[in-house]
Amino acid sequence: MSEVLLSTKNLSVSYYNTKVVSNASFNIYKGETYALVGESGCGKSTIASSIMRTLPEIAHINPDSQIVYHMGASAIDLLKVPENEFSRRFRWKEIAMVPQGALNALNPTIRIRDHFIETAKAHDLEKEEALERAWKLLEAVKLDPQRVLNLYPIEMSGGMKQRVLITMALFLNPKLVLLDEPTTALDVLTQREILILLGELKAKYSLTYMLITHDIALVADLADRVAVIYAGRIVEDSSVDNIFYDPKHPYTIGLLRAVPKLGEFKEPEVIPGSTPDYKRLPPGCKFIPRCPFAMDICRKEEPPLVEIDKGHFVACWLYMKR
Amino acid sequence: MPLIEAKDIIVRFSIRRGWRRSSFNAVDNVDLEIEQGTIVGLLGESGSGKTTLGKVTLDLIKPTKGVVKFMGKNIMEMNKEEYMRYRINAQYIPQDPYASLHPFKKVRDILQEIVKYHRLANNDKEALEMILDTMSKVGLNPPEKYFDKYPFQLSGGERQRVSIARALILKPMYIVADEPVTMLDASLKGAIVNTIKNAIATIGISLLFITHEITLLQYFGSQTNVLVMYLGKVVEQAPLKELLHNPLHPYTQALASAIPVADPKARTTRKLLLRGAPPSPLNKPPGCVLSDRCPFAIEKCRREQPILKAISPNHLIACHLY
Repeated sequence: MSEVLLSTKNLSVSYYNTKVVSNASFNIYKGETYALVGESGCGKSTIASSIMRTLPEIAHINPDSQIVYHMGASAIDLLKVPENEFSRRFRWKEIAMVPQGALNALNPTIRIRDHFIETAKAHDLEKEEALERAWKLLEAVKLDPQRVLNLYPIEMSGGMKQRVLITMALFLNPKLVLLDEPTTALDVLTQREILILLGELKAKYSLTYMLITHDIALVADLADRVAVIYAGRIVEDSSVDNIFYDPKHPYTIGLLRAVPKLGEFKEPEVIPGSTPDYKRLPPGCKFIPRCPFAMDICRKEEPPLVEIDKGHFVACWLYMKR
Repeated sequence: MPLIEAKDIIVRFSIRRGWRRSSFNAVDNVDLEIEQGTIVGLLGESGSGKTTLGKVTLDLIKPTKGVVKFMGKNIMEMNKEEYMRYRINAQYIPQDPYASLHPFKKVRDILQEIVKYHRLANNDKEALEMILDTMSKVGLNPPEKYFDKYPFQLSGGERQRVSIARALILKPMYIVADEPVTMLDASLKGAIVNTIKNAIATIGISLLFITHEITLLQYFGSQTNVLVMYLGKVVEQAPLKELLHNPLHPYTQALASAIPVADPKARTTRKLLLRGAPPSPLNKPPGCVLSDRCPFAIEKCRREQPILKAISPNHLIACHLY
């Protein structure tokens, strides 16, 4: 396996007294697409924000947490880097993000060219150089730079805006790009185009992607490895093939069954119960209220994330030898 | 006799750009028939006119040209009493559960208001019974738990259930569901579609299900009649099974091949048949609406608009290739 680019260790984040991410540890390898998948409110965007260090002020990262970024031979704990250094050396330059909601993420009052000029100013780039770079990137995402640079966001379609956002994320040559729901709110055909484009860009600029989504089909399409998140915990972490063809955790199994397959006309299968209430999480495994296989031990003790097969991690008592 | 019949519907929207006034047909010569107790799927990307057509059948948008009939009677020629009956019997489930509920009203009031306005109950007790009955039908169990909640206290799925309850409480004969699950998580989509399906099946309601996700229509069975719309035109109409296994119109073929499937092995078989975004409805191509993007376009397509014609008993298609 290739080298690790970013790894988190015991990442825990709380909002006030509510723990929304709990002991998340994972590795992202250079050149891969790593997907965090889970329902809304499961903490996947919080993990992304912790990596970008754009959490709201009320959020509190547990002091034991580590987010280690590997640069050449050195490993840097991003949580220990002071904010001004982080924004100078890392944010957008090493790690960039394509934010969720392409339709509202651009400033509606300025032209696209000014978006790039503003970014350039913030990073001490010459205006001409910035526009030249923007020109090249816009060509890479198959937009007409001449036209697009002079448009206001309102004059563009959703697909065009998403492309511009991707361009802006790539503007300072990052190595790791966090994609937060890159295709929601786009039409089916536009989605497909963006997915193909993301693949091309990854090869062209040797990027590493971290994909954050609730869309299982998108994961199947893009990811190399997948972490399934439930109630702020990674419950299963493995290769995309293992997750789709040999899922272990009852939640992963339920999630996969809930997605309709093309050409199958049957009743939708649904995970019983409702999404977890963070204020009233059960003491043991957090999935118990919805789990068809719940046992005694599940109610008492929370299962740790254990490697049950090579590269296949599951947090479930069903698979643990005792 | 079909329950809802829309004939030769044209909806023209006009917009102003500076001094110039221009107009376009959001819905262009579309026929729609829905038999009692059946489900019709309306499939299309954003801007295809599917919502406009749905609203025309509810008399929420007046068509520029064309006739809408409810139980054989033209709704424009109804007397006050008949029109009232039509209004009660034709209901709407909106797309966005976050924007469509009154934020200052409790669930109980939202539903009670409708019962009171239409004087459906003789006394408060009867009204309460109706509300309880409807709420449990849409899966808000136990109803008492949700009575005194404001919309912001509910999750996305619960809000959408309230929206569904609002449409069902009048026991209508016809419901238009306009992308009712687009804003929800994958694992919830199936549950909500199921709720709609079961609720309408028990009282034999006709349903127009508007969506851009072909996979969702599968829940309604392989024989569901589906209309595919593109830029205001119906380009193909067939039972779902036929549409999936034997799509004939190039647009339907492109849609079918672009559908995201939750299977990593399917990656290699994906291809993009249509490039670019649909043109602005203001400058539609003069001939076939797809002629500027269609890989099979011939000279005739650019000149002449194809008409929707039957190529087998229940498979209609608007394309010069056939």
